[in-house]
Amino acid sequence: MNGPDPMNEFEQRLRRVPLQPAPPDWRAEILAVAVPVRPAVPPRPWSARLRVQWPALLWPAPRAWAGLATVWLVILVLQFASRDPAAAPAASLVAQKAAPPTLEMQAELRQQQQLLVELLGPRDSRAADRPHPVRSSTHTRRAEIVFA
Amino acid sequence: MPGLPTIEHLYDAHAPALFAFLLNLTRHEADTRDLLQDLFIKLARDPRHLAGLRDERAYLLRLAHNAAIDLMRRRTSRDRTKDNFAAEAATPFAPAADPDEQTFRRELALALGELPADQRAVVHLKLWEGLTFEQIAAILAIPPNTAASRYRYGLDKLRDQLRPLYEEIK
Repeated sequence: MNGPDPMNEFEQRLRRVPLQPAPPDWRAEILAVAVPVRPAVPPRPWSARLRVQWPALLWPAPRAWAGLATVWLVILVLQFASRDPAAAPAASLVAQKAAPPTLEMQAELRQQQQLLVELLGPRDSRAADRPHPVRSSTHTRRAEIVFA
Repeated sequence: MPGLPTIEHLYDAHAPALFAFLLNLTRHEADTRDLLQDLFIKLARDPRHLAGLRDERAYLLRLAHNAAIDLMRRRTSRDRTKDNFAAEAATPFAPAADPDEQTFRRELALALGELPADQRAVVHLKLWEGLTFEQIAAILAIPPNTAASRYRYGLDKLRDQLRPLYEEIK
């Protein structure tokens, strides 16, 4: 009396129920966004990048760039032409700037220092006048010992 | 990367199974689409996921299951109520021309929807993917005995709910 196992039969019945297929239009939509990421390209040296980017930079307006370069050249030529050959070289200019101040400048500096002393003077002088108790007493004691 | 399948090949080979599994778990077509899309985006961006795999399908089912569980945990309680579930539930089964068969499929979908998600996942993988309990256990990261017991519990509930209908159309 070995009949079919009811559980097995039930399982088989369920297994035969077909599943719903994925909507066909999903394939294109999902694959459109699931795009493989391109591997990262190692950075090229700056000279190679410049070689690549230079024509692209100049290409949109080659005449404008050429004109600009010409203007620069003209400015450079005019600059050289207008220079006074007798003028002091740059090094001597620096030396002149680094030279000691004139007497007038020194006098003015002194005046400013005096003004500063007058402005700060009362406070500083009071502090300076006041004897330091510990330091002075110690100093006196040392002097007594030495002279004794 | 040489030797790895293209994303198109992966889609054609596995998307139907992943779709059915996800739809059975989420019972929501839009959620299923989002999960399926996220999964394939992940695979496309890093195909090394599949490097050296012995069983692509099992791996993809595991990814799909984890993603579906995460989504169900994130859902609000409003989405989890039975009323909304019944109203919005998408059936994982193809429609049938025969009215009796269609009724059976509809009742089966409802009965499956009543199962806890962990039992539903095991029942789906066992019945419609034809996997062994060891394979199911590996996919769901549970012991094989747990997979087997969940299957038995789930199947018993389905049988109890569908018995009258099943006896009628058997």
